[in-house]
Amino acid sequence: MSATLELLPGLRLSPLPPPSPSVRPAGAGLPADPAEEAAARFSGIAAAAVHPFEVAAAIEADGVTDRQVQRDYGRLDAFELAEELYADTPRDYPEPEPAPSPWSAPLSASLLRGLVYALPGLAFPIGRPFLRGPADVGGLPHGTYALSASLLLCWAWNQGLAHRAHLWLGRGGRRSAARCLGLGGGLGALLGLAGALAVALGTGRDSGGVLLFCAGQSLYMGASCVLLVLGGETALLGALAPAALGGAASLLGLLPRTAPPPLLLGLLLTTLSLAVLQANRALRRCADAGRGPDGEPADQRDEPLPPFRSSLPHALFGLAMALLTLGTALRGRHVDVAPTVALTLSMGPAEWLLYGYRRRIHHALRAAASSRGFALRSVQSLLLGLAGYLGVLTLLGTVLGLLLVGLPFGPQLAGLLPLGAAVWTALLLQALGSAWLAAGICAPAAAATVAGVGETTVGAVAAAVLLLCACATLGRVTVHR
Amino acid sequence: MTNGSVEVTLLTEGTYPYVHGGVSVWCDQLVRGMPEVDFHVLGITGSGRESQVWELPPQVRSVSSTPLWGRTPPGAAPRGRGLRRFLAGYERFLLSLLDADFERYFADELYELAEFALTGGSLTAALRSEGALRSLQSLWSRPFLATHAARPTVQDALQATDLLEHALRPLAVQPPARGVAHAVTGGLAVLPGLSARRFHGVPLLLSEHGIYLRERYLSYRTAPYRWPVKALILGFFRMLAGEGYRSADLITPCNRYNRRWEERGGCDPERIRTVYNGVDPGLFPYAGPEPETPTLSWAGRIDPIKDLETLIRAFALVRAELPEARLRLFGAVPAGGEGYRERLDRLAAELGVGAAVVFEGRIDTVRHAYAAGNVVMLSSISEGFPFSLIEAMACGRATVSTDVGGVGEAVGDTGLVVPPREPEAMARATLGLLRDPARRQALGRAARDRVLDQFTLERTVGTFRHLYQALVDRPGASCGAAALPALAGCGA
Repeated sequence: MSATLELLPGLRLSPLPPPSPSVRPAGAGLPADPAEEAAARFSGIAAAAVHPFEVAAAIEADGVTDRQVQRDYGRLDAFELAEELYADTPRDYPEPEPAPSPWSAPLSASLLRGLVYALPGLAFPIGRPFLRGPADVGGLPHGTYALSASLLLCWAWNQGLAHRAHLWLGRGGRRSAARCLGLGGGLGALLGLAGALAVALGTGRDSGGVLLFCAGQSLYMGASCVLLVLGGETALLGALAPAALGGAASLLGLLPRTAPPPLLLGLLLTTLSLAVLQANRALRRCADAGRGPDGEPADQRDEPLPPFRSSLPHALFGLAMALLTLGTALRGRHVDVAPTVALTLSMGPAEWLLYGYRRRIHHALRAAASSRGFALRSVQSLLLGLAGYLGVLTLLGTVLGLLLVGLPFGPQLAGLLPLGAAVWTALLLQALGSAWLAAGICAPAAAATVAGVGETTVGAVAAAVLLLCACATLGRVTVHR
Repeated sequence: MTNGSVEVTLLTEGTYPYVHGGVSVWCDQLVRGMPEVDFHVLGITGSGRESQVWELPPQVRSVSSTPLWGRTPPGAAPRGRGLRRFLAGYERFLLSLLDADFERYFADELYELAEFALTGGSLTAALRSEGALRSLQSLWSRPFLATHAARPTVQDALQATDLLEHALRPLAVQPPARGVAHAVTGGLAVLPGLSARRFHGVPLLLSEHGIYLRERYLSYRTAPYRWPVKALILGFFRMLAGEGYRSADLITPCNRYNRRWEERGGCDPERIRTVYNGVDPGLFPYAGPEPETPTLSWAGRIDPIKDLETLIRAFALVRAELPEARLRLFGAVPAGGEGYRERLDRLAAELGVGAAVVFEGRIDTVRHAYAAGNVVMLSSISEGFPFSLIEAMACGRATVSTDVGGVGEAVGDTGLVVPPREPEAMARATLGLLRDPARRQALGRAARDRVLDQFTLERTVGTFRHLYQALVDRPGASCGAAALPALAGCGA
């Protein structure tokens, strides 16, 4: 008649450990040396025990009654036998099965994510017919402001949305996650369109084509948010294929500049409808997985989520990231895409390197014998991850810079690398629960970029502050609980 | 003696009114048996969203729960001097768990933690702070402590702190301020009872069915933790058990066997009164004629602790002698226990008795399960004072059971008791009974008489009614032997 709860949810301890090896068939008479036999039978337990009571409990659980202790081992009771065994056995500290690190993601998955972040950019070349018109204020291409406003809003919204959906998934609430994503994705698309509309009305110079493109873009971003949260990267890649291939063909000159607009529109619409279709399918699958075997909702007892404001820093962080990245694109009077593409593509490897950091922390926690020792290992891991990321970014920046624009990569990297360092460190802080800190540093940095401060300066200052904060924060053991 | 209505707060963990069976049955019996008492139930639960599965009679005035997991309780950790003061006490608390020389600090520091939690401090936030983690890490790495040799890592400190933080959550619940606090299990359920006694002078009654500490030792043997973590958390359970045994005004184990642990744990034998479980003989009348085919029956939860492997092995030996014999097992497989059930199926098949061993599943009227056998079996390797045994006895069936916990006390000389985990001995005893109808009948009659004489529900409930009244009449007094002279009838 036991009534015990385990101390942690999900911890399942066996109420009954396996029986200890029996050395001698039961009831075979008094052994020559009872003490020796008891030691042979229970020494493994006694060596690993933390108190004589543990040995006594094991003796009893083995079904050895006090009467048997007296008969077989010549001791008064289980306690006496246990105390003797505990005192006579040298302590041994058996290691439990090493816990596998939950932070192992294959590099290919991360590369795939980087690809689906960056490929939507290829939709712009074939969207050209919709984006034709007089230049925006400041000489930027027609529709830049409307597109940017829509993009920024969607980006911020979807970051917050993804955070909430992950919270649900983390609590096992698959139905709730699906509901949250379905509703949130739709609202985000409306928000993106509303942003574009507001800018169009404000400036009075955007055409219906721009608004149409913005509507499609917003809808696509909602669908891709759903797929990225629910692990549908491959489906998303498939959906992107028509527009991306078309865009690539257009850039490479395979698609004539005079290609009929219906063909281009068809490519874009195919991608959009495929993405929405796949997202819808993923949502349904997720909701079904949240049903119990009898068809009843299984997660009626989902834990309530923290308030909406806990997702706010994630949205703010998304907004800041978008501004910082776009700032690189909207340099001066022309749109310079190489650094932006490099940054976007690098987000895949960046995630993989974040996982690498957490993997190293997983081991560091198990190797460090003091808080200080751990803090040192944490800083090492952080610097290692950052160096890896900057290496990737250098490579991407150089290759893209030379290929796409034919620019010397020195000046580009001077702007790109500090920004990259800031972005990666901020992502790390955000992933480890310091979302407000990350947003709090990145938002002013983004504001400074918008206000016209050079991105090298902004990136360098933000990176330095973020790095200091990260070293201080992530060196604490409790952050990694 | 006063005649006002008595107020009793039942302190439970993972049982009444959220779970069926075992201790919950006992709680239900107690509550229903005393309509004149005002009961409150304070249950320690897992997530805090468990639904009540018992219909509560009107004498249960309130039910509240304090979850061990669930949402992290709100609140911020103290800072500056407040944090330093907290940590100084916390370090003494930790030392008391890790080193025999510091055990005397345990009680005082536990109550300090309780006071901190009850006066607006967030114990959870304080324990989850980096400072608390550093305290533990630097403390248990000191060479004079046993944990030093096991080289504790910061991950160990994280895990141990988390376990401790969850274990101490019941300290934050407001303890009962009047009447009697009745902890129906040892362990965490005692925490609010200790607070109630310390801060409000509420007498504490502790009823142990199993031995909580013993079960914790067993389950942590296969836990995925390193030695220092085990040492710390089991040190906590051991010290908590000791404080419960020392502080409770009265301890009522359900068998004399459990007293060994309680006395070892520091309980004054004078404050221990054995109160046996009871059955309502009206609900378990004579079972009537035995089945034609020689049948062994068993009733309970299909669980490893019941050691059904030994029962099936013993049955295989019986069947070798009596080829027409059958074994009928009544009871549900608990969630997560499917693997064990499959193992039993395979064992029966291996032994060539697969067709003769029948899993009957859950049965609504459990007395029919006893009636289904010529002999009722119990093969557990651990028991308190099993209801299934005294119910079978009340039905007038002969029993063969293993000599664990209070089984020997329950059966006396009205059934056969064999050593646990010895299928041959169990088979010998069973065959002896199956071949001797006259002996079976004589034992069955004697068993029913024994239940009517000693293990009726009326007697159990009556005993607790007296205990409650006696504890209320002597508020704050530690009930020594002299304080409760009228309680000799409870079997001590």
